Amino acid sequence: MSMYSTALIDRSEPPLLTVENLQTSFFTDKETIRAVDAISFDVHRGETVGIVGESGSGKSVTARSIMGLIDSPGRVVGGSVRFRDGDTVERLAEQYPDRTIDIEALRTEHDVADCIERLLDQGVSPARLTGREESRAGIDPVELVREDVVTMRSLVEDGFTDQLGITEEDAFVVRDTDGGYVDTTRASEDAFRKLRGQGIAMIFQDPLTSLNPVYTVGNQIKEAIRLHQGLRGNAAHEEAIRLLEAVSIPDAHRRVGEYPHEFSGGMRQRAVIAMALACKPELLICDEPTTALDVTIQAQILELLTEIQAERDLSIVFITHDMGVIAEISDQVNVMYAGELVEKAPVDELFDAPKHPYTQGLLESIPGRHPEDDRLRTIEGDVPTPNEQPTFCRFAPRCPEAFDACEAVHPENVDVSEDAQTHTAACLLYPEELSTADTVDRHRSLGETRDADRGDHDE
Amino acid sequence: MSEELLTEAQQTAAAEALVEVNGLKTYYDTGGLLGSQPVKAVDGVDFSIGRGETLGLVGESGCGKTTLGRTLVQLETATDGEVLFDGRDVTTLSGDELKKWRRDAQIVFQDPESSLNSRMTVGEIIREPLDVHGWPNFSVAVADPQGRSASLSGDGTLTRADEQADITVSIGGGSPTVDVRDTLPMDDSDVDASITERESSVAVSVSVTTAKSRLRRARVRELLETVGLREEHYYRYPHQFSGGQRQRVGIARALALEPEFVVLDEPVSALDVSVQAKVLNLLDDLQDRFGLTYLFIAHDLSVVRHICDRVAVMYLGHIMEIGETEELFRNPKNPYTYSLLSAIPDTDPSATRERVTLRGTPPSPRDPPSGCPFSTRCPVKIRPAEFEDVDEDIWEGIELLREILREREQRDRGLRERAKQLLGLETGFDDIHDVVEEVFTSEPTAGENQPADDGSEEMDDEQRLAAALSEVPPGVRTHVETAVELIEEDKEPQAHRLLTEEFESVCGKEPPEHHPVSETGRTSYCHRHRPEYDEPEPVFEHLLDQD
Ligand code: SF4
Ligand code: SF4
Repeated sequence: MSMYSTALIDRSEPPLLTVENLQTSFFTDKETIRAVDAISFDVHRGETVGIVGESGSGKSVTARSIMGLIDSPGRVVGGSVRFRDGDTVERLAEQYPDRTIDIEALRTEHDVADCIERLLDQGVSPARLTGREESRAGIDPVELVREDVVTMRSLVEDGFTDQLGITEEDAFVVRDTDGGYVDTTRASEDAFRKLRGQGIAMIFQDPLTSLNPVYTVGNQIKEAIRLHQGLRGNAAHEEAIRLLEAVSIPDAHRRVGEYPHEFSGGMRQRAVIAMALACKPELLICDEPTTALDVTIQAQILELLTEIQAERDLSIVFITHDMGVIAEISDQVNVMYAGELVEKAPVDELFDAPKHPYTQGLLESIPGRHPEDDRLRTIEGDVPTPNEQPTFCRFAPRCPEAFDACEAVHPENVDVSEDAQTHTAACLLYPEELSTADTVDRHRSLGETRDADRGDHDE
Repeated sequence: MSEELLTEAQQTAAAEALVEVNGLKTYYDTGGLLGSQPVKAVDGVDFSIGRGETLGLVGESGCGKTTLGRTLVQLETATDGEVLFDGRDVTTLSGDELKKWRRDAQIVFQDPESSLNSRMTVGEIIREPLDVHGWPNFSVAVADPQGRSASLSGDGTLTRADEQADITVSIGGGSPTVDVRDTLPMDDSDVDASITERESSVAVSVSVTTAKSRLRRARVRELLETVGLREEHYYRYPHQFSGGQRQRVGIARALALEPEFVVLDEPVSALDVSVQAKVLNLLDDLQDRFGLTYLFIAHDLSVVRHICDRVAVMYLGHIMEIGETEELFRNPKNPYTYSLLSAIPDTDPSATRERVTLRGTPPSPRDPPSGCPFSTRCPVKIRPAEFEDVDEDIWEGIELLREILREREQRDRGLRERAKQLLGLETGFDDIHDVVEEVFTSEPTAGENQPADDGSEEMDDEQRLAAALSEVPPGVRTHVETAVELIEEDKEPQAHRLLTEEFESVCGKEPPEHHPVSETGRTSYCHRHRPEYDEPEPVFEHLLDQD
């Protein structure tokens, strides 16, 4: 376990955040850049999920997509981001009744087997419905319902209820007996503003993007407190001081009346964290929050985040290019390359036994991994711009392990070995027990299923 | 290695120093407020760099490492001290001499994006220094077996004693032979030489048949290749390049005039790690190939460890520790080095290393502490003997209180505060009881809301002070109480002075010396190496054991 993580994470509970096939593209005159190209990952309560990659890998765009901060010419073009926080769901359901789906109500109004029939009639492939390889002939809707392979919830989540016209396409709040979720990729701008304040908060590399230079730090924190906790006047003032103390800003009584420019870089980042805490978030998204800071200050901020996480059972998505920081702060690591997620593993495993050739190369090129070598190991070539649909491995031109099929088959995320539960890689070499011919077959057929799945996003 | 051999080795090393820096200071007078202090960016440093060596310069932002690097290549003017380059003090050079010397000492900047002119093609960028310096100036050596004095006309100048000849004209019966230095992009046949011999002298006339502009273009193409770019990149613009390629352009430009010494100011900090590795390998190759001497400035310690022979660790304008790289990284002696190394995130997630987290941020270089520069943050700062047994948390509280007073005092000299004072607005210390409470009671947690009213409102100031100080031993408490009284009487500077007098140790009072701390000549700037104090390392270990 990493140096800081102490909390136990309950993975049997549904994750707080589920990112599924998220796709964000930027449209220019010349080309479409698939900055985030169908990535999926989960974040559990109290967990820190690291996203690591080099510039252009899409890691920051991922964060901004989750937060609804993609501006034109960029757009989230597919997939979903489900945020399962009961309070947030209730609050938004109240505010947006027209854009809320009530699954319990759907269950009473519609029969799931019926829906399946209708979908099959509309030409939806069984494989898409069930997510497994399935032939049309043998499929029995009633059986699927009895075995819980298809449920009303799965129909909603996969967008089939929209297709059947029994739910609205612009609905983004889903209530269910377990509390439901909010799909942030569908939320409207004003709903996002509410979500960003409460529930999810974000910290950027440059704290000045979050601080207004003309107001005192204290006033900005008090504003957040007023909005999210309803405190005013002296009570808000006291709470602001308490938050500044909580993020270890010395002399908080004095600091609360100062302007951002009077704070050092590290102190500003602390102030931004205090402001985020005023919103009482469940999920904190940190985009390179320590990159601009010196190492001793970085160490303070990492320690602070870990403390806060332990106290509040906060979930953190931590984005950085720094492998050392990732190793320290994460429980789970996602490695991104050219818009895709290429490897996913618990932190120890990723660093002890990286499987994807890109991850291996990246770790090898860090100075100090092989002190006996005079020369650093490098990865040939440059990172490509992901501007076409991948029907091949984007790393192939640079990969020392590449073979013929790498140019012709798109590698999907698969378990690296048959008994690996939590370690996946998008590389045709895996699962490692299978022969190359078999792994290639598996990736090809997984790819076909997925293409069918997201057929509607790709034209 | 035996003692004698070692001293011998050290002597040769000293003799072969290319750069020697003595008592160097660079201060900035930023103008602004009346009576404001200069920024003491570099505040008295001594070191040398051997020929062909790479010296690393590390430290956090504001420690003065960049200013030091810029002063070495005379982009900044030294306030005091000397920079000897091959034994010659370059801080006193000016005019033509300075221009000539600049060819020998170049700098590569961190951000290739902003250091390259975006309106020039890559070829023009690399060529610019060649144009500025009228390259090639053709230094001509005359090899005369009779050793007569020579005079020269036509292209070029006679080679000075410390210069390498571009063209060598050899005299020996009949017509002279011409020899062009290999690294120049031209052939021997591109030079015509004729001589007129006399009894005691010889007049040489040299003419180069190739145009300088062609030579420069050829030189640029050669440089492009040297740094791993291609000839056709000559006509591209920097924005068409990736970060790594742009940094290669910066390196090619720095190498254009064949310098001996290159300051590399964070050359790979803006690059991704896989690109960074390639640029580091390139720098390594270039050093071998051209016998370059590097000053490598960086904040990334793993990069420094990889590429540097020796390292100097800077803090607030001073070199805290300097010595051989591996040794210094394995076994840091100075408390600042120790803390800095301990803060680096480790790429081995299973490492169970203990970490010292430093409190606060470095003080302003405008108003550095007297004594040791690290004394406001040092985790193993020496305590005055009479307080050695005071509880760790309480001592920390005293240090914090002093830090707050110090910071506020500095701030009160600021414009805004002075304006407020003039207008009679409150600026000050009406909250001293809150402050004392904050520093002497255990840290507030970042937990859920406590009720804002926890009863403290009902206590009057006297009672709150007494409560906050209840755990503090009497010997300490009296001084704190006196300080609070002084502050209540608006005598903050006196309060600050009182606390300093009572609680400050040798660390905050006297500057340390550079103590030798290893057999290879490493030195550390810290009082703890004096025989009467414990060495830093066991004190750190003790500290970490307590956590
Ligand atoms: S799929 Fe092929 S090219 Fe891609 S990473 Fe694996 S081996 Fe390399
Ligand atoms: S002199 Fe004192 S304050 Fe400075 S480094 Fe040594 S122990 Fe720390």
